Amino acid sequence: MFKISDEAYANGNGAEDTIIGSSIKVEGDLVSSGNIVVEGEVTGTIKTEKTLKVGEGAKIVANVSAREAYISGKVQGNIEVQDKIELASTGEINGDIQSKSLIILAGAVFNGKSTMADVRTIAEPEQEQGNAENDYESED
Amino acid sequence: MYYYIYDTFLDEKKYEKIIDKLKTRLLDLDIQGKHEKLTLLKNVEELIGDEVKRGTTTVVVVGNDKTFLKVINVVAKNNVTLGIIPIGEGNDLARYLGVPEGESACDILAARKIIKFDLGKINSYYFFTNMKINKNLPRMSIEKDEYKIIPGVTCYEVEICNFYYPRKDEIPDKAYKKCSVRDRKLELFIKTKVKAKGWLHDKVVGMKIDSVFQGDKFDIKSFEYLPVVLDDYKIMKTPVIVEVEPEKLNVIVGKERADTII
Repeated sequence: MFKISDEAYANGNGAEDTIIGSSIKVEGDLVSSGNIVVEGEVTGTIKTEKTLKVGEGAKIVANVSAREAYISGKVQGNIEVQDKIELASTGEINGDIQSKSLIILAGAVFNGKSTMADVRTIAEPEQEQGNAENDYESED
Repeated sequence: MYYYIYDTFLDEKKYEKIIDKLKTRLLDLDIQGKHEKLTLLKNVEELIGDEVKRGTTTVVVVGNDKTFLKVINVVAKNNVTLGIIPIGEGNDLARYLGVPEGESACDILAARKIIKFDLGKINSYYFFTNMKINKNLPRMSIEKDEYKIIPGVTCYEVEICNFYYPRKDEIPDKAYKKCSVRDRKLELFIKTKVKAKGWLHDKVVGMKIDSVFQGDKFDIKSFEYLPVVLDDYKIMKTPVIVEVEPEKLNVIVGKERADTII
């Protein structure tokens, strides 16, 4: 569903973009500052500060962390996304999702738990609560 | 001090006049130096190495892209400046360096606009354009950072690119837009065959880029020795470590230079 677009090629001098085609397999911790497009197989972990696109024939067995994710293939593992995650009709996720917004199209498979919150605030709820109390006290 | 190296194909009679004009122009511009013709018996690396010891600071190759690429390793190792006077066919690389053919290239040399380019380094050998492996790819793996890339059976060629320029009549793949000679990165391309239906069997009509990785170091390992071709002329064997050496090569360029393909 997600083809390797011109956009993926456009940024010649910017961040390190990665395209994993259908002919290869990647094993280990894949960390990138740029976009990642997966059409092949990945085992391990995937971390990117930008967008992750998982193509129809792709197979990922990994925990994923990204800003945005578009899933058309199979993902087995937990997904943590800062903004939006979109699961296409051909997509399959077996794992938990943590995201700000979630779109699941008809036909998609999702087995897991979804937490709809800003990932950046999930990690520090106590701290925020503490700050609020302090603010209240200082007003007195 | 300048050291001019003439490629072997310039012995042909048709180049005599051009070379005479060239020498006159160099004299006019006061950038004379030692002139040496290559022969099959002379080793270009030894020649340049000896001249650098005698005080040469600028090596100028007179020939084509192949001549230029052959001297990259020795020039980079000796930290001297490299120039080119393109003559004959196969000067696509010189065009991207903004150096016109023949006599006019002398003016570019005289202007001496120097740019520092990144180089690729494979073990301890420098290359300018790319390195390729196209045999038994499923028997190798490429390690980068904390992960390993394993080519499948449909992979046809692995290329690590520092600088890409399209040869005459070649239509570049859009992925090559990522290759820049001054971005302190190398691009790893994994290609597959493009097949067309034939009468009995499918025919291989070309290659397409299937996967792209960018990085500054790739570690290539294999179960057996696989041939690695550097800059389309030098052959080495796996295992190899391929890395980028930023701003390693000083090249005299023209105003119309381009770091990447347009």
